[in-house]
Amino acid sequence: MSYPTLYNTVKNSRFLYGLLKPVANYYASLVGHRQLGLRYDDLMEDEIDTTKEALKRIPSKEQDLRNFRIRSAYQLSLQHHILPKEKWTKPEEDVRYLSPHIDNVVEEEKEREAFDAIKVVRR
Amino acid sequence: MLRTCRLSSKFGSSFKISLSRAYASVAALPVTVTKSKAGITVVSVEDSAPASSVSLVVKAGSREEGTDNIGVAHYLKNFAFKNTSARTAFRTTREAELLGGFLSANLARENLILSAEFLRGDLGYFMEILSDIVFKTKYEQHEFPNIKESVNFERGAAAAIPEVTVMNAAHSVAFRHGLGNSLFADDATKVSNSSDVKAFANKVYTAPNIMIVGTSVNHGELLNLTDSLYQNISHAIPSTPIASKYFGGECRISIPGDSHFVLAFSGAPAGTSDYAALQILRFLIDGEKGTKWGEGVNVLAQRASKLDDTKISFFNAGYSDAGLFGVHISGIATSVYSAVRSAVEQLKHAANKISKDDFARALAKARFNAAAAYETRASKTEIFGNQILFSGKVTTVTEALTQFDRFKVEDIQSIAAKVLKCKPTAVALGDVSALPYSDSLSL
Repeated sequence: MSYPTLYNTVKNSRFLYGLLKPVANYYASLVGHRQLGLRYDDLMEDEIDTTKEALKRIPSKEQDLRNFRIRSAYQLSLQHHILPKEKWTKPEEDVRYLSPHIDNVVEEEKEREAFDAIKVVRR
Repeated sequence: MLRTCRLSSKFGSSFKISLSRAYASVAALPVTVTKSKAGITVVSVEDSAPASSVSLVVKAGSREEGTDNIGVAHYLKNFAFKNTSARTAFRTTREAELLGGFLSANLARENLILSAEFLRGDLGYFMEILSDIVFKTKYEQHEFPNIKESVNFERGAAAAIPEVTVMNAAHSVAFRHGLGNSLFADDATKVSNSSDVKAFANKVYTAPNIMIVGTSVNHGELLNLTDSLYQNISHAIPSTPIASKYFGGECRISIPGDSHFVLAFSGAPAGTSDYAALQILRFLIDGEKGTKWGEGVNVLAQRASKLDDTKISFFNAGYSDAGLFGVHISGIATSVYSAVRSAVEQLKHAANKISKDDFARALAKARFNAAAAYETRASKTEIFGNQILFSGKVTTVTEALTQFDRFKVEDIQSIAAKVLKCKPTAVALGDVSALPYSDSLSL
């Protein structure tokens, strides 16, 4: 996504990683999506054009699983329930299956805009 | 009136010159052939034209498809110039446009030609684009539905042209597999995702399979670029395709509209002496007129102009190890029927008797056809690409013209007799109830 990030700096530094990883884990459990069986990327707004395009690019099986997770999460939320602890999304299952595609789409759009606004300098 | 006089006098004088000096005006084009460090053959023609072209001629035609991946060559063709790890498809297109270049991919039965045409000076950029296809194409799964759509569109567009359908059917009847594979992937193809295409690409994009043909480019520059861009090319030796075998047979396709009929026989591989002889035979009896006016010179041309809207044209398709010689006739079913009969008659007649005048005329036409093939960038690329792929060496225009010199009338008669001996391939398309069967043609 297009916000400044220190992700790689943190990931490459052992000290920072050790310091911030527990905080990150705490944040992830605080968000509460795992208690509903969701993955973090299920929370991406799919009304946005970039997400729509990215969703077209993931395999159809992945799309079906995403829809299923979202529907069951809705049902749980409606009933004011959360899943029993053994059915929560495990941290290792919480993979970013959509974000790389969204990043690609954003990059492509930027490229398109850049070319549309290009000033050609002839040598 | 004055103009016609001038024209005719001009014609007369040039005709005299051409009689006295046989093709002296054909300047030998400097064709250079070198092997690059990685083992890729680099061919270039320096004819100092302002527009250049570079093509990858890859032995990846529909012939290389197997039963498990039939149609994959068509998909590979449409994956050219798509997303690579160096640029997106969008960037490739826009940059090529900014440079005034033209990118194209063409699939034939025996090769896939990826071409870039551009102004002199942009060689480096376009060589990079072409090498990226080989090394860096991503073959992303999400691109596959779009590729499939374009493949289906091209198949549909081809199916709407009866000439293409009828020739495709003739090849599949004549050769069954290999050369008989359709150029267009149909719905029954087993290619269902981009990794199938990638697997085929890895198999065909190898050093012995690729040739780089440049026209109007500096050979040294082309060679240097090839050396640096193709260092990591795979050296896997491709499996030799199963030798083509001619079968022959009958195929009848019923569609509304005009009727088409192809009657074909086993021809000769391109570049052989039999192929050249067939080329003379082709122009000897061909029913196409050289001018817009008049009825044509030979019997079939006159026959075609008498029957309204009927075309009789002979073809001589040469491949690396086989060929298909025959006639394609189109028009209303009843005229097609009688035209097929006349064509068979003429072919049989050629096997028995050819007049000196007719022979001289056919020879001149065959020579012109051979020379004209060296005219355009695209045809030069195809010619040199095929020659290197088939025989490993190039034939210059002069050689292509002199190969006709050794033929006598008897040679053409014997090749006609030889052609008639094999089992015919007959394809009827259109109103099949009114079109002949090959066994009713008294062959």
